[in-house]
Amino acid sequence: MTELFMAGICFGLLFFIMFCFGHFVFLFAGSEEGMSIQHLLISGFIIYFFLFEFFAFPMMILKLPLNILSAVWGVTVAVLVLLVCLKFGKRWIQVWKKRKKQGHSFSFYLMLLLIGLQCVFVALWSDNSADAAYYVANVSANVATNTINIYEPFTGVQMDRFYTRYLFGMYPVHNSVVCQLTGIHPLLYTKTVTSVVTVFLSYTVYAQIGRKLFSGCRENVWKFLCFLSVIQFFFHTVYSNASFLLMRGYEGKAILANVVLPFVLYLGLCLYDDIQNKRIWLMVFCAGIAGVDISMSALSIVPVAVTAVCISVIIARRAWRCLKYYIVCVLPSVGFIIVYLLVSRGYLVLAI
Amino acid sequence: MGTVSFAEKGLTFVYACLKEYGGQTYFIGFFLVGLLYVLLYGTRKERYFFCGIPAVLALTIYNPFFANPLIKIMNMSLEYYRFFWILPVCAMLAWICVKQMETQKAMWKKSAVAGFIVLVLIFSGTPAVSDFAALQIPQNKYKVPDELIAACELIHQDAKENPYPKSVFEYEYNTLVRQYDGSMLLTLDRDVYLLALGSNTVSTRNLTEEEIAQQNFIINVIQNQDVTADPSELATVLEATKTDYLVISKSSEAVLAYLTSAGCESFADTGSYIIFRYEGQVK
Repeated sequence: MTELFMAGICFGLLFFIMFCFGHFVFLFAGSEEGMSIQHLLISGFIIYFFLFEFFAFPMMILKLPLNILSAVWGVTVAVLVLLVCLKFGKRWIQVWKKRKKQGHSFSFYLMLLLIGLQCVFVALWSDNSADAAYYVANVSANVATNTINIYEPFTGVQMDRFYTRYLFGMYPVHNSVVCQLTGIHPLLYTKTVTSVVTVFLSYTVYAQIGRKLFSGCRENVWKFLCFLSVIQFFFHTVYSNASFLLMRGYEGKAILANVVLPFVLYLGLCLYDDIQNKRIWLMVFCAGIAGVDISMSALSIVPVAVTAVCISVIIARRAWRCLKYYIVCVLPSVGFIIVYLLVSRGYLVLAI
Repeated sequence: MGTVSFAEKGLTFVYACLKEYGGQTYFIGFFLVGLLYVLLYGTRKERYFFCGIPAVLALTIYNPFFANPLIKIMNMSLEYYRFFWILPVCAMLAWICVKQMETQKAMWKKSAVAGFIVLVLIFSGTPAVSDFAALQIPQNKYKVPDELIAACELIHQDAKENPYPKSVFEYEYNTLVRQYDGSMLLTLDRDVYLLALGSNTVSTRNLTEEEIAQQNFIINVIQNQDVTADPSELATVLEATKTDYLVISKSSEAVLAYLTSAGCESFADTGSYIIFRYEGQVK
């Protein structure tokens, strides 16, 4: 029961931390006024994993123990959350007090019910796919040995070099950190907590897309999410993003397909409205690195998505000067791809 | 995609992948028709989002002349389908559903349109779960069989001073056990097991031929119940792989007897499985 209780606390805490990280870009300049909670939440999610990559990857290469990463990252998160709370805490209380109490329509409650059913579904669903033998076993192995990606997840033997296929993907390492800090079992955290978090975040992103498409008409956004729920349930093809959301939500690939990529599309809509806004371009930049941190599949997929979104909006808005922002946004992905190719072809050896 | 071969399909690889991606549903077809709907009835913003972005994708990553060389360089023929995740298929279909509802003024007409649309989606799609009897409440909070947990506990109790015992499990448990217990070492690699079961989407990376042969020997015994080889050969393989324990289902008496002949000693029973300890070769 204690473990389940901790899992519940962890679930709430994750969202609060993501929400705080969403304020990160406003810590030193600018104002978050006018930004919705959902926008701050999903931006915070991207910024969180963007930063995590810079902590976890070097520590993995340096073969530092997991508890060092857990301590450093835990302190970093705590300090950032504290800074955000100190700067924005009063504003949050004021906004909460001023909020208008409004009734909600049938569509709103139907949307909550459908998303709730999906959360229950993913929480109860038992997936034993072959990929889980890597992703979850990697978390368990890291926690059991207090190391970062040193031991082969499938058999437990020590590897002689880091796994090229998952080289930059630090998402399982993040799960290891959370499990070590909270004491929650890796299976409970990955296959229940993160699966439900993925569903919530995915629909949060789609809600933001809906707001952009329906010009803020909330009623249409709720209907949009209701239809989306039905479509996703019936778009089961093993390969579709919807299948990954409902059956394998704990994997980095599921988060890539259902949170990161829709977020990049959402940023395209934001750029369409305000293409000169540097904060949006900054989020595009962060999404490229956060995507790779979450799943190595993002190595090639996210730069393609960024290219499609940015090139089409630059053409649509005839904002040719913004091409330089696009180039800066895809540069990290190019760097990742070059390093990956060097490692996979043996020109660069990352030995353990 | 294991079912679509890049070498075989060549320039039609992209199209073949898209067909597989859509599976038994009509949703990709609806999406392609929806592109026309957006072009005709959408605002400039909607045309940018639903048509502009896919247009750039069609000219680049979905263009066989561009994609095929990239697939070769990045060696991603098995993962190519993931580029279709960029397409806003579900978002567009949901958007069209709302637009169709909003064409009606009366509430009862809106509800009728919504109901009709949902029926179309149900009959043109494939549900995530077709058999609701398959939806079961997990046996525990870890969503693994209780017997797996029991087997791990019994092995660790028996192993005493060895915190990392090495074991052999049948396929289903072999995939699950290290997710539950990171301190349980395994003799059988996931990919060797999958290859033995007929998969063509994995490879055996850094394993030597000898290691693969040893693992295949064990898989042949426990999975195919091939007990024709002399038991001393199994003992030699267990010795070479430093296997300490084997967890085998009770269903095959021939395999259980064979393990005993090879020098394995049964010491625990979890209900459906017998746990064997291997301590050395039969003299």
